Amino acid sequence: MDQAEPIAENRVLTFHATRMSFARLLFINSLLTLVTIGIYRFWAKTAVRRYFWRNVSFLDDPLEYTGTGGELFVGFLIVLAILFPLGLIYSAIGSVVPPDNQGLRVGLEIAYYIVLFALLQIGFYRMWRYRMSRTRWRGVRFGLDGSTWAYLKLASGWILLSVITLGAAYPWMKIDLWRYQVRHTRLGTESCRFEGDARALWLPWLPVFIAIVCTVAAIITSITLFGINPGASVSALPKDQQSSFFYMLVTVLITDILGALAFFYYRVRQARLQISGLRIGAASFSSRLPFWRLFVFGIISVLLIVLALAGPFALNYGLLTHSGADGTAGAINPHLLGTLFGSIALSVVVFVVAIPVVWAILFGFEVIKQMVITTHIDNPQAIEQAAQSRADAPRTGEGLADALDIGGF
Amino acid sequence: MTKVKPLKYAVSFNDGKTALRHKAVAAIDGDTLVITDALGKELARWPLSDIRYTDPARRTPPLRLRRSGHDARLGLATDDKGQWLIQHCPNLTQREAGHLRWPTWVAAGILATASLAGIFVYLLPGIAGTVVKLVPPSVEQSIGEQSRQQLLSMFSKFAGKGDELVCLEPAAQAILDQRANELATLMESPFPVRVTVIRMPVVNALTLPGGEIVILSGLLDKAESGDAVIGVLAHEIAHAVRRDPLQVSIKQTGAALLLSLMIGDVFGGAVMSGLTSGLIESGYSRDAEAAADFIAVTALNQLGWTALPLADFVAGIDRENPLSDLVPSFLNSHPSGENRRRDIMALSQGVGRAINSHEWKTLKSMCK
Repeated sequence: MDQAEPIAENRVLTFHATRMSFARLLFINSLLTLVTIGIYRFWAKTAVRRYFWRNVSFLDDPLEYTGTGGELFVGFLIVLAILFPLGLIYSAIGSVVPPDNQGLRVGLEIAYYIVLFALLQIGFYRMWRYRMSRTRWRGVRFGLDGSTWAYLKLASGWILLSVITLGAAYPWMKIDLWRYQVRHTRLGTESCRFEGDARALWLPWLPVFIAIVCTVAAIITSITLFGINPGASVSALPKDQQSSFFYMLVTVLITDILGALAFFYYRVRQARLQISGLRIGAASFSSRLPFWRLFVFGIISVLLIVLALAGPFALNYGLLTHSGADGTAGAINPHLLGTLFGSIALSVVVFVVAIPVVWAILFGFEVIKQMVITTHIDNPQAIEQAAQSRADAPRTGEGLADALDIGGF
Repeated sequence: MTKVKPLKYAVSFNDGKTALRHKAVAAIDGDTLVITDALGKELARWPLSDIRYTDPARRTPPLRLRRSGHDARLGLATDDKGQWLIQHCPNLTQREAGHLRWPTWVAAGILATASLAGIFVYLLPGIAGTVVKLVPPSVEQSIGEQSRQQLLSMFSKFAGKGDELVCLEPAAQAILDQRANELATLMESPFPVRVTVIRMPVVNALTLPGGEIVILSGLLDKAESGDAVIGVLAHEIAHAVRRDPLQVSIKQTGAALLLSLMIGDVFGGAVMSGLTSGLIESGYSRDAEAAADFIAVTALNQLGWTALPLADFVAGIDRENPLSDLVPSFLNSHPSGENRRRDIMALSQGVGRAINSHEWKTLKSMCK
């Protein structure tokens, strides 16, 4: 019909957002969120999504986000009604269990994490369903089929396997869950597929796995040699054993730092694979997401945040030690009280506004930008064949994901 | 009648059935936008009043428009930045029917705030009061022992160099235990009362659930007579007998949980939990304080001990509290010292001493 001429690469997938406009949006958002003690966050999230969706164009037409803050708010209220009694029950049980009953304590902790894990999976899948149902391209709605329970079952099996194998199965878990998610995602009636293999990730994962194994080995060694609370018994040891303990500690620390860096590289590789295996009809995706560029942006962001934290921390510390100079508690110098309150308030603002904003503008923005501009699509016109679906969409927003703070924005 | 041939503009059209992009021509005909394909075949007719921005936040070209309630979309990439169309569409920024307007949101917000206040001020204390009745005293006792251990290990970090945190002076402890048991029996306490004195230069006494009472040594230093200390002890035992500490801790747990869920993660868990616990931890209600005073003074009367030193003591503490001037009395959980003093003095009938001067000397030096 209309798609006679070949499509230039620079028109397939384009990114129009600028850091300046994004910073303005985030500034307004965090200001309103602060003023409304957090309630505005639903509308803030919606504004950020609208912003990114409309600034990503495929074949000259932008994505469209049709969700509203009100929907997110209602979804949140529903989840509140579920999580609040759950939390009350948990703290009630926790206050009755005697402190010296270690077995019961550990059992309660494990139960807590199992419930949390299940809620995270459910929350994630429901969030994806909501987002897809509120995303359109050229008027055609995205959607997510599949069942949350099937996803939860799949995720539970994989996490069990990952724990048993000390994380060796982690890349396979990630990719298999992604496959389930993609296979049930559709544009209109056109289903997506995933044709990728986690075997491509074993080498990037290897250093992370080694770091995990080393850490677990060190913990087990430490417990067998020094018991649960090493700090107390180490000081009672002879000098040479003490130094060997600290050598082990330093080795583990270095291994873990290297492991964290390796994990960053692994995440980039995983994202590349996740995009590169995507298929919609005859259209196929590939990604060249750059590691070094994202790494540099990440390091700079972390450094800036540490600097932003150091200032107020030093100020508070100085004021606190100064005011309590005579060493008696409850004798804070009343002349400095106002300054101290002001300084604490400043720290809260830094903590609540500055850090998330710096992180999002520098790092988050770059990740999204690079994901879009380094993705190449073969046969993009095939996607134009997608037809509108009449499937139902969820009526309320992703409350669980919000309450558990998953999904980023 | 001569009909002016309408101006035509090139647009891209998505019919809402597929994701295909149709090159099309749009023209305004009266109060409708007529969209035709290159061959002149009519694709759609959109009433001008039904045309909306797909994203009201983006009003710069290339413009994307939709028809209200429909899946079809229109792209205006060229032609005078779409001004020709914008001028004719009155409702471009209108939201979908079914979306709430801002007055509704403001009203809902006020209602939500009011109901939240209701939850914190009435519902949570009410629930806590009911739950307390369901907790057997033996369970409260084990909760109390647990919180005593936590409190002691927390305070031991602040203890001075080399000093034991708990003041273990058997003679003084025996005096306190004897008075505490007498008072507790008289008040029909559901559990035995245990008094612990710790070395802390703060003028205060705390009551934990399950009859665990902790006196900070600052109180002994500050008190001018032993009768004031026994008066404070009676007041704290009255709280224990009323099971106020358990109710407060249930109330605080619920409130902290609700707040942290409400505020979400934007405030960062650590910062907020610190701030909120400070906000909520206003302790007992004014009614609870007044009731504890009443029970305490009644018990002191029955034993023939004077409550007047207690009255002077609470008034004196209040005068030295710098916050009492800043916080209006209706916000401050403790009834103001002067009011309490008046009430205690009106109730007090005892004239005897709870403790003789020799015993008071022993008590006062128990942490020295």
